[in-house]
Amino acid sequence: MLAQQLLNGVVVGSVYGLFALGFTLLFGVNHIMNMAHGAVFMWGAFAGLFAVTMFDLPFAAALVIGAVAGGLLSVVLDWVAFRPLRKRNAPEFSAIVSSIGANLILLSLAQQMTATRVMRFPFDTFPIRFYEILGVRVQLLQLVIMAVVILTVVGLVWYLQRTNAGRQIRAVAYSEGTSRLLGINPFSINFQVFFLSGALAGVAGVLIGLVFNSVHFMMGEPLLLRAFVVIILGGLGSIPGALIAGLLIGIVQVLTVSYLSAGMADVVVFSLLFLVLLARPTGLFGSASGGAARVARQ
Amino acid sequence: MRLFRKTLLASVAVLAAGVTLAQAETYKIGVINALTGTYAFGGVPIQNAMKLAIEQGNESGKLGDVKLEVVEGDSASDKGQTITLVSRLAQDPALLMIIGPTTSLEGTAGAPVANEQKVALFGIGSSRGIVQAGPWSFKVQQVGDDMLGELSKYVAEHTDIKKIAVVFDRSNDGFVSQKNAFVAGLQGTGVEVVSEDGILSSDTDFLAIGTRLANSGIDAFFVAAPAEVGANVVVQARQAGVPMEVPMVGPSSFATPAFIDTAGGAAEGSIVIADYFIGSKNPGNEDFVASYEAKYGAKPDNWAAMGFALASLAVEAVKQAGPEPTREKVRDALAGLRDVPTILGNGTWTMDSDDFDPHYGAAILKVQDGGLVLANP
Repeated sequence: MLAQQLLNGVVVGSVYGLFALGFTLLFGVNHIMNMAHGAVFMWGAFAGLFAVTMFDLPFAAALVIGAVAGGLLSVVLDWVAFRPLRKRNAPEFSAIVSSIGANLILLSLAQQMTATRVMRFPFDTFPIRFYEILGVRVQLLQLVIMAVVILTVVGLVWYLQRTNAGRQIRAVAYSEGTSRLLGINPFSINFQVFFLSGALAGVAGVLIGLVFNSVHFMMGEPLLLRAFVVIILGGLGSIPGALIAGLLIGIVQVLTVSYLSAGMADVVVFSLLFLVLLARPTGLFGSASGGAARVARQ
Repeated sequence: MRLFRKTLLASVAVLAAGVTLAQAETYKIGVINALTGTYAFGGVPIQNAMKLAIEQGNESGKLGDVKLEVVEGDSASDKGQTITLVSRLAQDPALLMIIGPTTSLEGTAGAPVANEQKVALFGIGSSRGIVQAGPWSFKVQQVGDDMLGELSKYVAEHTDIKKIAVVFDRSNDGFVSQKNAFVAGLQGTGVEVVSEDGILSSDTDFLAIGTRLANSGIDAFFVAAPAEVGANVVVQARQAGVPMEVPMVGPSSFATPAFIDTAGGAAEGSIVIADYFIGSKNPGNEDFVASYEAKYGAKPDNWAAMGFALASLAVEAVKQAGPEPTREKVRDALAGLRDVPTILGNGTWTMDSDDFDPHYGAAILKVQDGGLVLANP
């Protein structure tokens, strides 16, 4: 059972990581704690669901539509909730409050639209197949989820590290002022970062909605709380940190449910966060220079 | 003679006016349920059936000149919203009583307010907390001990189940009490409870629990949760490898189309206890099924039956309160209801005199070919 539960933990944890990546990317570049990230995730899931239920599109198309919808919504959020604040050099706290407001609006709209119903992908959206690998029962969907997460992360890292656009994003993350002097257009960079962040949330939304058989207007809220743990544990703004911490949280959560009880999962996860922060206040992969970078950016 | 004629005409006019006034004697009845939110799967059919029962009560003439006007409200499956609704409705002096809300969660929140405002609240939830809030709150559903005791007895005496795991919604008082009653009922019967797992109604990831169930050598697993959450537990347990020969055993929240539709094939073989069975021969049931289907285009489920039974009892209480009902008279009449024919359980609804616990028996059902059939031996 241990191997089976570890597999469950890796699957859940990789989706946590995917969700947290968008969250941490936005924080790393724009230094925004986007409290509406859970709502973007939820709307991405709904976009994927409607693609399947209303237009009879396949799972792969639902993933793409979820990603595009999440990305576009995130860009709109930037224009409405964050960009006006940036123009006025408002403090970071204003952006948090603004995103909380945006989150409530997006949740209310989804609640009205769905009449608070729990919705789900049709049973035939994805073939239900199981394989026995070394005594572990593996679902085809679990394999696809891990493949999608790996491909997405590899693509993101390649984009950030190997492309000119990625280099510009990293330059803006370090110092927006210096980047401007170098001729980098921050408008384009912000568009890319918000789109990428929302697209990652949208993909995670479709995957979570499918694997857990539930799409609901509140589905992003528990995950947002988990994402906080993931990015703080992994180190604010750290992409490998978010991934590894996501996997760690997923595995710890599943093993707690398995060997203690379901009710103890949150106790163990948040105790772990507390202990790590006591030992390493910057998280497992964070560094004190993160603070310096933030100062430099301003 | 002319004086006599004038007096006679005046008397007739006064009497006629009196009759007209009496005919216009309309009293309000608050009908609040979870029309949205987690418990809407039950709240909507309950609300529909309550309105049907009140409509039939008005049309039957059993209330004499009294007419009941429904004032609807949506608790949104939320405690705070329930409190607000009960407070607001109680402000209306023409309001006789409130029927609803849908669950123990909302009922235990609204009952103290109803007692404070001295308006009778007749709710659904199985928790004793509703009645214990004070003399103005009552409930139609029997406590978990009654219902779940019957289910434990059935599992122990009429199935081959020897090892069972328990999963329950720990955020809802009613589901916790159902779980406790089920586990207590199994004590000393030879059926071993191998694990107890508390979940939240907002949870969606049950793969870890499902994997544990699949590896624990159980003969069945008991789930106490809202229909759609429970259905998700069942689906993910099957995906994790719990075979179809290991049935889900559950309370009345699963004797609903919402559960069967959501769980699909994973629900087959589930054993559920219900307050009501659509094929029951209880008095009035055939008429209820026909009129509900004609009005709402769907067959009534367990929740619709519960709502209809409750509203019918409320109409009976108003009738017993007399031609000039007041809040006090209706409360007293409600408190005095005993051995009333009902469509629920064994056909007779009654209450204990000391703690006002209702009783009406139960039906054990099985999910078979996407529907519910009677499983009682």
